[in-house]
Amino acid sequence: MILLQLINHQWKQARRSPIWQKNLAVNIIMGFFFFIILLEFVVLSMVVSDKWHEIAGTEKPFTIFHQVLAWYFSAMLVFRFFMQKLPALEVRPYQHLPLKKQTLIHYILFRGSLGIFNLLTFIILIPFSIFQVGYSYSLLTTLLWLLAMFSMDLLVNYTVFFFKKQMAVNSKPVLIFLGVLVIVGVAEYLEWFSFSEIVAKGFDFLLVFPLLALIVPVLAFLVYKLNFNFLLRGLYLENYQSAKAGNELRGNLQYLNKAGVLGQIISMDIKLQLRNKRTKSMLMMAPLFLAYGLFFYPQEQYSKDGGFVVFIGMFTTSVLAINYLQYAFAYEGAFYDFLRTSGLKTNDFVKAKSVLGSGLIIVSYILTTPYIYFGTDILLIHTACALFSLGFIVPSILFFATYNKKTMVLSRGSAFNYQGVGAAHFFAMIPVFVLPVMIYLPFKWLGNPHGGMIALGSIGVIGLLLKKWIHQMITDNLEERKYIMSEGFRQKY
Amino acid sequence: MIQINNLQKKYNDITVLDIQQLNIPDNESFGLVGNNGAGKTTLFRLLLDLLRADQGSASINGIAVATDESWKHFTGSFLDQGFLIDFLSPEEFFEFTGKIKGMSHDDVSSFLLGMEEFFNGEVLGKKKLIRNFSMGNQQKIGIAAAFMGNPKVVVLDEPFNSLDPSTQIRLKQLIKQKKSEAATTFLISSHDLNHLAEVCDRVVVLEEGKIVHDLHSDSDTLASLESYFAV
Repeated sequence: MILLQLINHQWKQARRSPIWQKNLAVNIIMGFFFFIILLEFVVLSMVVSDKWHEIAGTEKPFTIFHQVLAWYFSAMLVFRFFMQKLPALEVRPYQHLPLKKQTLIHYILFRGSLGIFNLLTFIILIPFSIFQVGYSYSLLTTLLWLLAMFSMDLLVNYTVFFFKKQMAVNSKPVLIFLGVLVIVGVAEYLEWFSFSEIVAKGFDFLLVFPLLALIVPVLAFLVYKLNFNFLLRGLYLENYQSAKAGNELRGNLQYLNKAGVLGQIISMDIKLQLRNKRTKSMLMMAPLFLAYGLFFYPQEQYSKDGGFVVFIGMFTTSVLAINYLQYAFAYEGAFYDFLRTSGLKTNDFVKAKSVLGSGLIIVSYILTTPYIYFGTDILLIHTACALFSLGFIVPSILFFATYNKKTMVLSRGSAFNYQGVGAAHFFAMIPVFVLPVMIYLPFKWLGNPHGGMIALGSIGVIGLLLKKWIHQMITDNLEERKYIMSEGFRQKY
Repeated sequence: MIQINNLQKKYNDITVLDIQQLNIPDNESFGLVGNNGAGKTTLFRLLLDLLRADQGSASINGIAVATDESWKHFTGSFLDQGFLIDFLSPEEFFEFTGKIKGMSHDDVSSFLLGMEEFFNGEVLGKKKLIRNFSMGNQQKIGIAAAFMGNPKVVVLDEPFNSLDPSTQIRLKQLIKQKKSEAATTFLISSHDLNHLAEVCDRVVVLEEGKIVHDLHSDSDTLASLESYFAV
């Protein structure tokens, strides 16, 4: 059975991906996190389902749940639209083989319907079907209801694929759809018109006349067929290759180019960050990191407790720089041989990295100054943390980065991408955040928190004064390890 | 120009390169040939200080490559994709390389003007990133970058690969021209015996890391190379 063979290849590809094989420690850490999050979701879903009739608090708990589902499926529609794409490229190695086109298309569509979102749907629906639907209705009704809801998920999935293909080049319809969704959402919020109530009424019907539930899978199948016919007419890969991130050429940072070799390296590095998928998606996360303080500062007990503020201060001012500097040399791994033979001075390279890392801290610091709203002390602590980072954390992490000989493969997105990440990178974060807290706390306990801030700041200033010497040390270490780095980077994964 | 003494490289106790003595005089164009795994790229990498030699040393213009970096200022090289910065446009890449080689913006412009014919109008002004060029054009970009900054030595690993026939001819002309006008020393490897016989003064055959033939070009270099590789 050729379909099974294809799935088998896919499984092998996933399992033999170098990320899984070489990085046991990271796998364990990430697996653990994933497991915990999954478990939390499952437990949450079970608790909510069990108590739903109390939470919903009306006569019609099912209608309310169906309303929630209406929004869930709408959200899925949008989400899948942006996140999922038909894995049409996966069949490239098979296209020239004497395989039936139909088989390949079934495979593409099947693969495309699997994803992390399906898991979410399962987690939401199954506990509810057990604790609520199964409690009030017969087993057959419950099963049919489940079938209808899962088919709904597939229906959404295949509808998205169909629309995505129809408008491969034109993104206007998406914007219109998003606009409609926003309007419907606002209308619902202002109680003018309830979209979810209408959908929920439809879903409610399925419980009253369970056989109607069969309509949904039939619909899902029809849309599947629609996709299938569409692909059958034109399965040519060029039609489905979505534009790669950052292919367009813009921005040339002329002012940096004028600043000599150092400026050239910095502008090259900035282009690297902006034009590659992985680094770009990392940058998109930046606002989230900077806003981290908002989770804690509004609460009195956190903003008053100095130790915690130091932690948040370190996090908001330095996490971007740390994330950049940990892989400082690995970003250039793909063309390290070129840099090594081009006559570029290692010291210039190190300096450029340090300038960029420091720049990130300064920008983060400036962007987070509005936290002063939660108290002047917070700004003072942030200032101390930024100084500490500039003088101490930047050189330390940069030194640490000279031991990283795994290339960053830049063409892949960063979510769930741990290529090039070692367990050491996680552990390196601990001292970065714990050390400043440990420096600060004794002063605070002695009743002199300002002394703690001064201590942190002073360490930073001392580091800044010794900058030249430290850079030389990092340069020497990088040169000492030149063969190890070159060889490591040449192994692409 | 290039001296190699007792150079050895081992991977897991398997010797992949073992060269007792090799001298390449000034202005020679030196060809390297050998089947896959013979050690051609290893030799180039050792020469460019990208690998640690287990024994012996290589020097360019009297400078031991492993201990002194000053050879980098007059040595141009293109071995593989690792010598291209693929998220830059060709113009940005040449500007970057030129700056490191100590060229001004005008130097780079006039250099690129001289390369126009080699590029055949397919490289410059395309507003594309290097990663979006075809293999052949990427190869052109890498080779051109190796010629930047008036190098005394140019090292090219299989430069004729993926070049179209016209560009192969242009590359051969370019090599001959630089050799006669700028007295450049060339190190070139290839699997194409015709190319090597045409541009090189001397062709060395590597087998399992050892030099097995050292032919100075005369009328029948090609014939003796062909007879060596015949199966």
